[in-house]
Amino acid sequence: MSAQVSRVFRLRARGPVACFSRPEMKVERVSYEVMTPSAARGLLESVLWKPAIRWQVHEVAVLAPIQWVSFRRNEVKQRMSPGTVFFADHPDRRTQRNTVALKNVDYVVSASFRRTEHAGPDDNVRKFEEMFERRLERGQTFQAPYLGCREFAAAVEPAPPPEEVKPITTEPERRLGWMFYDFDYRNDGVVPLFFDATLSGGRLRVPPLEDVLREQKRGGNP
Amino acid sequence: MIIGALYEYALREGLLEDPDVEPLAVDFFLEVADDGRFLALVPTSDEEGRVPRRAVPRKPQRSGTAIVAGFFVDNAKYVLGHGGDEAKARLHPERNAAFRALVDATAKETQDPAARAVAAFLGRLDSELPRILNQRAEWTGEERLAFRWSGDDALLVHERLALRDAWRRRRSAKQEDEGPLMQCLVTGRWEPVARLHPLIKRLPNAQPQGSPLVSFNEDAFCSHGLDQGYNAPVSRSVAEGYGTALNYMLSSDGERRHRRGVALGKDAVAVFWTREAEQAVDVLLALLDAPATQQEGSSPPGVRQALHFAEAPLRGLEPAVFDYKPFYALVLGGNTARVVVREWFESSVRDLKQSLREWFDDLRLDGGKGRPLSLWGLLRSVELRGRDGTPPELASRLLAAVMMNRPLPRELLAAALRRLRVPDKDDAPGFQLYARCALIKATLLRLRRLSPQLPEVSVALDPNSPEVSYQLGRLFAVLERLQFVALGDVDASIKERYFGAAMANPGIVMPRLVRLSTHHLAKAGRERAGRLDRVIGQIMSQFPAEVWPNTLTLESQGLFAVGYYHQREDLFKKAAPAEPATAES
Repeated sequence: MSAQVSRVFRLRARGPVACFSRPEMKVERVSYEVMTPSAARGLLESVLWKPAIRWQVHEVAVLAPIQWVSFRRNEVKQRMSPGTVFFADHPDRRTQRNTVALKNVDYVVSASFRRTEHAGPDDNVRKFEEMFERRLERGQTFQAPYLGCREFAAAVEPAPPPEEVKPITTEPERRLGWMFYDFDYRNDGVVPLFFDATLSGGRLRVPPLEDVLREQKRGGNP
Repeated sequence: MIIGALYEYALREGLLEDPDVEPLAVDFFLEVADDGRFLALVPTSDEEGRVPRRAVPRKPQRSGTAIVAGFFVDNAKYVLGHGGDEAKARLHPERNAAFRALVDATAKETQDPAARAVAAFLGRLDSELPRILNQRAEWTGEERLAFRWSGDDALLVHERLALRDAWRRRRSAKQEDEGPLMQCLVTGRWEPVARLHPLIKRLPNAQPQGSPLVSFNEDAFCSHGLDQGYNAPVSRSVAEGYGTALNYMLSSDGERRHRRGVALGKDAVAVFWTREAEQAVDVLLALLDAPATQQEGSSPPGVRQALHFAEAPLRGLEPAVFDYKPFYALVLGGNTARVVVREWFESSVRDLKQSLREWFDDLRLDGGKGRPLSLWGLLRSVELRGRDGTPPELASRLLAAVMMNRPLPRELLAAALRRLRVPDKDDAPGFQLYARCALIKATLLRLRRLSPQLPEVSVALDPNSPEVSYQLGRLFAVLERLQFVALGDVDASIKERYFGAAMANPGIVMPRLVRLSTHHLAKAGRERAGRLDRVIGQIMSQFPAEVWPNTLTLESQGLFAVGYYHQREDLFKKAAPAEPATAES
């Protein structure tokens, strides 16, 4: 039996604007201070996505100081459905929304993946490791990688060696409160998962999914 | 984090002592006898028409036209089924019935004599109503009424122990069967989740009855088929807490429009708080606030206090090692049915103190006579007359620059210069000029941090400055003075006619003014204008007309203005004993 878990990959993502919307402020958007684990997963999946693997983010290192920018845009308030002409610029369908986003972000994401129950006999971890490495090196993606919202494109590249990564250290420890972790799709309905996030030494440590699920269960039945 | 920090504030300030009641203004006490007879309608307002707040059972959240009755306290539409215009009266019987049903049920449940008296009153309301309505000329329907029972002098009906218990039971039962349990994204605990969030009042461009900070009022805003507040699970207690905190900060406290906030332009309000009580926030509020009486030239006492604070190094804003308490600033605006977070700042008290000190330092300009400047005053001084005022983005960017010690927006420089070009028509031109030039100086100083090749700006007159634009500004001040000495007060002085042009295109305009000055010099005579002539000579010998640039950049124009201001102050300073009567203009 070969390994179930890959080695740890490190990916650098940066861009001029990023908005990792908080669920409570997603209409008039306000971003989290730091990239969320699910946004980081999105970046990894834009490089390599297969049903046979599941990404687990371990850490997000923040390399650029946290800066904000706010702007207003005209957006639509209707949902897409077969009957609607989506981009019709009709005043009834328009609504102005504000966005408080992050400016000039730069992150290094550390993550590994594990085989899922969808993995076939040929899907060994080594194969995907090499695929990911190759694709990242060449800049190949399944979809344009983005920072929280599709319109905020990310430049993705292999991270520099660990000793060259210098996260921000304005405060030794900064509590970020409960942060969105990811959605749990396994059961009926979609369950949002949250974790208690702390930025220490400019690094956001991301607990493994099992820990978050355990914590979540404990919160329900103390 | 915003919601969490607000919730913490509510806990700290003790705004949530009892989750079942909230302080609200009650306009009238309705006194009833045992048998439900109407006895009196007692207004609660004092001589000045102020209505005191009173702890009442927490008001139900009503969305749209939904009918939900309050517990023994509500507005006239519910209590009497009356008030407002005809169009809105259609639902009154239903409202009154809902209110009555709740009272009846409670009376039956508690067998409290006061509750039964109220129930009896509501039973015979039809016959009593004319007498009650006569007590008041016009009923808007918004008057909040509470009951008093003739058998109890001390407490209002809803304050009686039996009814308080009944309310608590009812609320907790309701919380359990309403709304699913979800993991709250503020506390992390599994709790009943708020479907609708509290309304935030007193925000510009929001609805008069308030708009929620957290809302999902269009299809496109919801995810995963979730409804309203379930899109963002926030527990009910947290929702109530942050709502109470925000409404408290935004409420007026008599002297100020907002207790813990200031209006930024016409469509935004900034509120500030720290995790622990902290004086620096009061300083910031004082610094920002508009004076209650709009007397320009004299600064509000609050700002004076703030400056005093900042200049007393050991007492006031000296950052201390233990000052790592977080400091929060939130800029809110309205977008009709929603509240918009325009800006969100999180830093520490330490950094705030540091920033405030640097701000006062950067703003310092000779000749201010210790007149401190509030941000509000600064913004006012660069506004163009008859326009909409300063754009809110500019106000909040200025605020951000002050709080976070960042460079000031270049637009401020442009605005100040634009305003300087327009002849003064305001009440205190001397003060306005000071405010504008102080702002220009601060802007230039901070821009210099970004691009060090920009020239230095001094606090006081610097006769040896190598900057030609600064020297030209000085020259202009001297020429203006010379004209005044020669001709006295003229209708349109060279300041009024040429300042803008000279600032933008000195190479073209200044030589003409210098030629003109020979006439002024001749008229004034050597004796009175000799000193001015010497200054002109000093500047011209170092910077002959051949080196005067035809156009100046925005930054150089700023230097021109500062040079003008410095020289002008200097002339006044020295001339003051000899010519005490000259007006500042």
